[in-house]
Amino acid sequence: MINILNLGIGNFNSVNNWVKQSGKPTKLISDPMSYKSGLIIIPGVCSSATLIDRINSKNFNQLIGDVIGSGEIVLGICAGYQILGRHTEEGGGRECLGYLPFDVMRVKDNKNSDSGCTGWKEVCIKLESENELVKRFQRNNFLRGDAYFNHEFGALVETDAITTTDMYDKQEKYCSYFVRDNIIGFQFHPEKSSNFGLKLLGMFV
Amino acid sequence: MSMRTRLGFSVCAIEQSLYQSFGLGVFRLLGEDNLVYEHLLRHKVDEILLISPDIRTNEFDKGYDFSRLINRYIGIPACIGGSLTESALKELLEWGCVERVMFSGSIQCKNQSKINIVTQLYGRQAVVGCLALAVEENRVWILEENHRRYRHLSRSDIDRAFDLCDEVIFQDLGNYGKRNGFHYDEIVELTPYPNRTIINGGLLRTDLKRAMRDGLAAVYLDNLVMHSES
Repeated sequence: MINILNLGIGNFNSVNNWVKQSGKPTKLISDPMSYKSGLIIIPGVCSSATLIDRINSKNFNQLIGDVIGSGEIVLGICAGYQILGRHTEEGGGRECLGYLPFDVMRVKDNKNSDSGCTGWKEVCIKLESENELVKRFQRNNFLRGDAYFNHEFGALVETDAITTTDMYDKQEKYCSYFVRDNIIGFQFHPEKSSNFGLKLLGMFV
Repeated sequence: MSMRTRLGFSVCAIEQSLYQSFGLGVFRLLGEDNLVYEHLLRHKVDEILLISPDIRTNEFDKGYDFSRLINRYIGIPACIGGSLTESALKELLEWGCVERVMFSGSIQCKNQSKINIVTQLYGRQAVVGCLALAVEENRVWILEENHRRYRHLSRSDIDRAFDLCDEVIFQDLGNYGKRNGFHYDEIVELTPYPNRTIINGGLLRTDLKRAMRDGLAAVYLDNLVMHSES
């Protein structure tokens, strides 16, 4: 079962329709008590501050921790990825779940001005052969394609921290994806990345 | 990060069908919405803008039922806009099936509550503005919020749009639906942020090439690849 969090914001139905392309059963969950087993996806297309507020107020923070501890996969997309980090400065600042070693900061361009990132860009995903996901699924550990990004805040990773990740692809120091053990984060939107998104679905789901 | 210029498509969404718009109040039927989505996806369009037109200005008495998107897989970003009341907008955002919202009249009016709702819940990256423009004697005019008349486009109109929105559509309404060419020199020179600018209306291949060369965020092709009115 693939569980998709429905917190009343974000594009959870778009994510649901994307996952359904895999043929696997899906379930939208708006209450932690309705989770039984399986992978969890935290959709994005929302403010990370609003998202972490709703996760905490509905006690999904506890469920996410339990699922990670159980070894099941947790996949965060866009803001759903960002709240897996330590802190976000969006919405006046919030502490986040702290499973991944980054802070979420407003994206700056080369002139240090605020700069949104909207559009398509090539992403190259590499999984180290010893990664738990490769061992578990025996899938391809390399995938390249055009991914759709739409964000104003990004996961700012310290240089040293990058070396501790199993895979990474960085824009300046903003990390466009992050995999650690059974935690996966995509800054881009696989559900809106057309063919590349469907290939990713095959790799992870 | 540098992004390539996106190729998008804007369509009018009315009841269960999609239409191509030719200026204000003239529509040509493209077909049932699901078939049109499939067609656009097959042609590798980067994004789609669904506009439910203002029902006060045309013969239709119903907008589009956006709940039709809930069970529909569209593998590219969908932006919606047009005639949304505040309550309809809130409801739509809770359905979890759109990525961005386009505002036209709202970016001109003092009451920005609808834009604020999207910014607060979704973030500013989900807000797209639209300036409906016409060029007459080398001057650029903007259609007022109530669609009744044009006035001169000012620098503050543009600055305000970019303050409120992640990206802004500069729509050449005078050439909309035609294949006359976009008023590229007159309009694009006004934008302070080419990488946040989308152009739409009367585009020719030469406009497309210039947009890609100038690093515009996106072009909405519309009549360039579908029908056009003479």
